Amino acid sequence: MDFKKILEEILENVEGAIGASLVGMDGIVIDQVAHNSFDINSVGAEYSSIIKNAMKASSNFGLGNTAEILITTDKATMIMMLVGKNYFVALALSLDGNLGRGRLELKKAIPKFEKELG
Amino acid sequence: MDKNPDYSNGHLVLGRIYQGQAKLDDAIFEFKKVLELDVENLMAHVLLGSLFMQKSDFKAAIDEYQAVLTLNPDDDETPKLLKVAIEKAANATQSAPSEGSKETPNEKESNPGGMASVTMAELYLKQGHLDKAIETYEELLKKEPNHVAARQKLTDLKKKIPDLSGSTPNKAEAAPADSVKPEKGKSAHFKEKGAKFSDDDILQVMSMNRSDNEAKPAEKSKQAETKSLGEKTTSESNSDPTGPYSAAQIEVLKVVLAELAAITGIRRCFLTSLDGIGVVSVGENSNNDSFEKQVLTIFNETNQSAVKLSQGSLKQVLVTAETGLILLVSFAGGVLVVLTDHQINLGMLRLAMDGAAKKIEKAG
Repeated sequence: MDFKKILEEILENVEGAIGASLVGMDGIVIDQVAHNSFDINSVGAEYSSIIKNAMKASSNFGLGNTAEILITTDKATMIMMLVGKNYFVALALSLDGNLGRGRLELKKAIPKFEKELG
Repeated sequence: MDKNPDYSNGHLVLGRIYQGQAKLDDAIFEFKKVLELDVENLMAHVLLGSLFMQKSDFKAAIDEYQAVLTLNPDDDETPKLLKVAIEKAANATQSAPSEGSKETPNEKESNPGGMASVTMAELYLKQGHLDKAIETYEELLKKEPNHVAARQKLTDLKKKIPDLSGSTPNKAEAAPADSVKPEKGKSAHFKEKGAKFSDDDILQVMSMNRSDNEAKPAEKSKQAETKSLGEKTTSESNSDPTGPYSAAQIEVLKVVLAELAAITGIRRCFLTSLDGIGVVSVGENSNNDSFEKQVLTIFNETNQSAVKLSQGSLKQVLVTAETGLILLVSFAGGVLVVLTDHQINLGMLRLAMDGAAKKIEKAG
């Protein structure tokens, strides 16, 4: 399982990326990498319930399956993309980080995670 | 290049050389080649945009700049370029009839739409000229009654902003002549101004609304009429302002949200206070309260998580699903929720939201 390598690649390729993690829908982090002391571990776990709510809302209102959630706060931006039905990959960016590149790198990484997860 | 025709960087370099030599068509050909090989090449989109601007093909330039913003919504420069392209495109379409002044009156009659097209209507919509967009669709439908897309767009537009459209096919039949005399209320003001609102317009509307509230209790019946047309404002049911919003602010919010909802791809938008009181709602299924509750739950939970994680307060949540997007933004002391089609251009949406936020701020 080379999850860390894929996560490191994402971090390297995105300007302003401060952490990335692969998380199960139950909130348990499978693997993670982070710059400095950013607690990507807690972030992924904390936001997993939000993903579930967003999935429910999208489905209830005929928007189909949720693919991505983007959260912007005063201090950071978090992009989360679904990996299959049971996992999601989260990327934390500083406010001046390259959001477009971040989304692109996550999209590119999803098939790799899916392959690893079988 | 002959040995490696699929080397996209080679085409990019070649295109730049042609551009430097003012061989615009050759440069365009090369940059298009780059995009055939790599549709996400931002540089090629930007350079193509600039070349199309040079060739005054503003529609094509708009497409390229929109592609850039879709790929990189954080791009700071492209929104400015896009704005210039949209303005020039609108100016070009507006000045087009005078350029065609050689037309005889009969020719004009046989082509009442002039340059009316879906593209032109879209440009008007993007600029907030709702009345002109409606007129353009109507003109287009006179020329091409079987134009399904235009008919659908016109219907959608009228559904979204029934009280602002001011131009309906049955308008003359529906109202007796003496009932359409100008009324110096806010909706008449909107119609006169063509629903394109400057900041001054909004301030004027606010002052009109204040005097209306003081002097004209009958205005309430008009508000009830608005409500029956699909636009719901919780605070309107009470003449006293409720929640954090005054009646004047609500009027401005209605206008701003109606403008926002008129953008192609936006299906619905509403503003709710943080305690869940719906303030203004525009667009499809405006009476569906459960949607409001669910999205507010998402916003509040995310906000709590952000605070718990010392990430500061929540500014925005964007949920991307298969056939649509839900955007929740901390906005004017409440939460603005925008429900869109999947194909919406995020860059354009962001521009529109920024504009709306500025208007609300000014009215605050």
